[in-house]
Amino acid sequence: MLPPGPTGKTRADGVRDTFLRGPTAIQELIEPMVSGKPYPIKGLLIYGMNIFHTLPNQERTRQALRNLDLVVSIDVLPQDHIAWSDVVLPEATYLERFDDVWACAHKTPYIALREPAIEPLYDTKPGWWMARELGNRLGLEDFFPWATAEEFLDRRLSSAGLSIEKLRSQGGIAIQPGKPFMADFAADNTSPFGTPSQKIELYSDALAKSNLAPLPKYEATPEPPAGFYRLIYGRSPVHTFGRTQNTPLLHAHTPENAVWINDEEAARLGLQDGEKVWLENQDGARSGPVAIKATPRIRKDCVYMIHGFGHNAPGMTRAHGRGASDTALQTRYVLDPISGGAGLRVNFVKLALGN
Amino acid sequence: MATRYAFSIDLDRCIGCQACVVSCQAGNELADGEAYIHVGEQIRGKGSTLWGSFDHHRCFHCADAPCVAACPTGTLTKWNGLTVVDREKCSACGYCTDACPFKVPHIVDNHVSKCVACLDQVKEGQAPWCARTCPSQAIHFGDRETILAEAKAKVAALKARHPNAQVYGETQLGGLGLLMILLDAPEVYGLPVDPKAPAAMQVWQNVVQPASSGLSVLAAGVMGLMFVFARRQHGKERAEHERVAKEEVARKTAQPELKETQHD
Repeated sequence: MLPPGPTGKTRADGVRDTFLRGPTAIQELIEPMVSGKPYPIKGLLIYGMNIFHTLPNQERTRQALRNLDLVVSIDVLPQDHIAWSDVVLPEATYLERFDDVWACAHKTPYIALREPAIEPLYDTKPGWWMARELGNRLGLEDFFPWATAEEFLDRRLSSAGLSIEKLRSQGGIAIQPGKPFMADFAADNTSPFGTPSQKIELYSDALAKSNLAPLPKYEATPEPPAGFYRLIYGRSPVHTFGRTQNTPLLHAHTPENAVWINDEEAARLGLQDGEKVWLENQDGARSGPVAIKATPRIRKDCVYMIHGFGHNAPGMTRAHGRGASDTALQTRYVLDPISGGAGLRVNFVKLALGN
Repeated sequence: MATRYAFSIDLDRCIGCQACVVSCQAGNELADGEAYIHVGEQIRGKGSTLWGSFDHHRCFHCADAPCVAACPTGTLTKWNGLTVVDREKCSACGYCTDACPFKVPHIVDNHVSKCVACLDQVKEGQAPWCARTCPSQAIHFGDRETILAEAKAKVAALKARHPNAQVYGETQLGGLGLLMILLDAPEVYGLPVDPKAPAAMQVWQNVVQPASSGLSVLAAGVMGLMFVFARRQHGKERAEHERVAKEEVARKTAQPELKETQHD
């Protein structure tokens, strides 16, 4: 039994009930949206996230969206989930809007101004503007005491003896000489780790008290059934998540992903490098067609692909229908009992020839 | 004395992220699909001996550049150690593509396509886009003596882990204007140990080029005749183009086009 939280209330995503702690586990909110338990969820506001390229089990996500009374999407791209939204609030791109200052500490501390290079080209608004307008209409004026982004930023910058004008005059960035990470904490004898011992804890009493393994313990993951490969995924340095596949220069460079398979395994299956296949997982979910990359860089029991491809939205004019989606093939996941993270590499796929 | 510029690429630092490729395309406003830099993956061995590196295919800025010697129009010239391009002069003859021992220049949209060393940037005291963008500081640009000394210092440090580490390009073709820091022998990377201009180049420089002034008179005559024929054909083509364009307009009016989307 996990310790109760400070309010004693049950949270829909299961924090303290099914996992120990952490921020919201978004994939855990899908079941409550469908089942209405522990309490009904009526609305969803999606900001800058493509839920069909993030959450496992796309069919369950579609059911959840059907169940909701209100779905609002804020995005700069006409991504897959936009068509599922009741209200779409198109956002200005990062080159057309103010964002909060970007501040980094420690190694090379700096504060960077993020301001628009041009006026929005179309009928779009910055995220801060939407938040403020919605807040004011909901009676939350107290949270938005500033009228413009500049006012907010100037107030924030004043605490560091800076202003928008001052930052602009020095190229938009203020850099300080850095110091090692621990130096900030050594002075007042505090610790950055937030543990009872104030040190990095290999053995955690807090985990032991919650009936969780106090030392990380390896638990074997299921092996792929005969004829299937474990689906693993990762990133390309060219693309960021699922949101750059439609960007002209990056699309031209890497227009689609490939499914990596061990070269000897490909030869055994009679598959040629570059040949197109469909992928089908253990539950019958399919994605493709996608080209094979036969390479010695991968084990024989796995296939690998770059995440973020296989967009279905026609508005994603370049990325639409290019490559395969790893998310479409992730119908299962394993919940991490400590952080609430979703372990997605528990899905298995087989390869089927064809376009 | 004029500066002799050079690039260096440190294959020990390159992470294959393609940022140089994209910043070059964006900074030089290249046509769709055109690229001066290609970064590929090289895999060697198997299992426990498997290792890989990144292959940078781009202009080496040779001191004795065979492409410059082969260029009949003065499009390709040397400027402070760099092989630079005057695009307007290019006749797309393609001699440079045959002359280059590294197979770098090619013809795109009726012009030579190869690294122009970001001349506009360099003349303003800035480094080329690739060197400015590289997030792992694998690409450097500057005075060749300094660049070479730094590359040698890096190789000396690498020797402990990689006994075959070396600088590629110190002497080849009069000294390359792009030095590569390799972890192993050039052959391992598929680089020619002693790159040479093709044998036909000798014939070109000694025989054909001197005779070309005479040839161009003949060529002018042939061109005149071609022009007459071309005008006739052009008339037919223009009629066809107008017909297709009309059809296109009719189609678009019937079926509104998808609006271009904006991207973050």
